[in-house]
Amino acid sequence: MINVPKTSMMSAVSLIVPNVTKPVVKSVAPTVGKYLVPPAKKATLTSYSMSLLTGKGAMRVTSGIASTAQIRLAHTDLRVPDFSDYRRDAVKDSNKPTSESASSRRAFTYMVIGAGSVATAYAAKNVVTMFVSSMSASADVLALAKIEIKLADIPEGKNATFKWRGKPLFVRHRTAEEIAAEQAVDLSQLRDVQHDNDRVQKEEWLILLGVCTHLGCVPIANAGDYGGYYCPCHGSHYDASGRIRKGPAPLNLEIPEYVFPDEDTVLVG
Amino acid sequence: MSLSSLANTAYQKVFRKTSSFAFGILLGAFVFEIGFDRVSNYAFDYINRGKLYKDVKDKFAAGASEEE
Repeated sequence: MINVPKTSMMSAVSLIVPNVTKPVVKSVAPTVGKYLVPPAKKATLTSYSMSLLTGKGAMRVTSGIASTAQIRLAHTDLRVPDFSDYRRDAVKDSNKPTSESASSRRAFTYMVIGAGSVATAYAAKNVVTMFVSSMSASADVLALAKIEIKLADIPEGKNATFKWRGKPLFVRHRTAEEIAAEQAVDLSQLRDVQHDNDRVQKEEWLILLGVCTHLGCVPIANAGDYGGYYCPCHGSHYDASGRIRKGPAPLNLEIPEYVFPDEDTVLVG
Repeated sequence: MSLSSLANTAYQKVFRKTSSFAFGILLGAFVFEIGFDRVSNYAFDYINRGKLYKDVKDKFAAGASEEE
């Protein structure tokens, strides 16, 4: 659909193309009585009323002896630049079909893109790894966070104190009587209910943080009513399993994470 | 011709679908990482040979055992 400007000029032009017009005025004038009445002129006030007068349909071009429709473009004398420096070797010969080398040229292009993507993926992975690993603790910090204790140095019935992460760490070598007594404790008697087996990995070794759960004083070992620990600050009594038995403290003494790498050492942290 | 058929196979199997192309890139990145890291570590060791701890470890290990 060609957008035709709706002017009187246009309608005049369209008249000479016989195919697409309807006449501006009817050819037969109506008569009223014996007088010849000129046709009423329609007012072309709106685009609709004008569109009734102008040509319809596509514009057509007529050709003939009198009309010249041909345009001659000056192209035969233009020199085409030589692009052979930019062409691939496979397509330099204009007499050879390019379809033969199409797959190898295409594969080469994709190979270049793929290799670049592989290198980019590798670089991106390393950048991400760098940032993520910078968030984790360094090796020296991790080494400081652990303590290795030789158990042979602690005689039976003794409680040794170590400094671990700025806090006192109790390692208690329990006697057989203590173990038997703690195993036999009635759980209904306890404030913070926990069986002795849940607090030790090996029965003879009790490892806990020497921080009273009341206000954080350091309890005294082998003291108090229950033979375990006694906090001098406000009088909390812990048994030989580190469980709160009497006094204001609400919870049992905390057990850190630890492992026994071999029979004679314990690694806390 | 075998190179062309190889290229054609590679195009049909890997490059043609975006999903398989991306998967190939991912797989290639893993393989490339192994090779590239190995080569660059070897180059680093070669350039710094004689200065690294693993080169002088024997000397220090012997000295440490004497001190104990």
